[in-house]
Amino acid sequence: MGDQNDDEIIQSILSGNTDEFEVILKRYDQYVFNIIAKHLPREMVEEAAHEVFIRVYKALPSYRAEAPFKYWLSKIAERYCYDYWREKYKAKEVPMASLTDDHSQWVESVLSDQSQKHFEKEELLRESKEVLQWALNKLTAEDRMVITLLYLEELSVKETADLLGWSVVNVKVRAHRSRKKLRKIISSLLGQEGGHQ
Amino acid sequence: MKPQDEKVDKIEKALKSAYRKNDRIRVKPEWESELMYHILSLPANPLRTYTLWEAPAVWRTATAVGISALIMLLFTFVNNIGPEYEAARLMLEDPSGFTFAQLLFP
Repeated sequence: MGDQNDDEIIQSILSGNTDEFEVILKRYDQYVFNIIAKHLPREMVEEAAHEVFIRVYKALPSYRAEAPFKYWLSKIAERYCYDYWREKYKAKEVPMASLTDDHSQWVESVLSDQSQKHFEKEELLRESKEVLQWALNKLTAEDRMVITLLYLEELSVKETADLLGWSVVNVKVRAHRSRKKLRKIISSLLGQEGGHQ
Repeated sequence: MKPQDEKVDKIEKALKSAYRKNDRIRVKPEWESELMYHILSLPANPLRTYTLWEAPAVWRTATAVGISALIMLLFTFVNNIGPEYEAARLMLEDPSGFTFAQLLFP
């Protein structure tokens, strides 16, 4: 069973052997977890992965094997994350945590010349991730996804467009605007940092 | 480059580096079995016929229009306000005019 390729397994599931979905699940669950963990809060990952696999199962009849299954799966996972943030922003449920002195110290340590590698230390990783979340939470769902895929994950414009189901031009325009917004948010962080000094 | 831009660049770089250090979340076996239990509780054959609400928008619209037309037709028959009723009324009111109109516009 483990030697079967994805397309064979999918055909088998579609012909009624639904148990075989377990092979797909075991093969790709860690992969889906990793994608989701990059976009959603940690405590949401298990629930989101569960939903993604349910979506995958329900969408199996529409899988055309034109692209590798793994890629098709990643598209569903990325879209799920995008939908998640869209819903959150629509319902105005995005947590807008304020920054503390620890975060200001993190900014100071990043800016000080003698400690260029300082921010990579494990003890400062928590602060840096919190600052990143704080900045991303200030962006809309669309801006957030573009920034994450294009600048943080360094995907190409075409790959980003494909994953989000947008046109290449739309991604380019949105990317330019989102980057500007992010830089403005970071600039405001510098203002806060200055205020603490 | 302005000093402010340089600072923003540094922070951007630091945030990117933090993003890349994403610690892995291990998949628990209980999570897998719970999901499989859910999957197996779904309809056995994924190639099931879709309900109206799961169908693509174009088919949903077409079905809605079809059902509306059927309801209107039924209403017309039941309440006698359809084209047949209208034709009968016209003929009773002005039989010659109605016949003449029928000849011109069959």
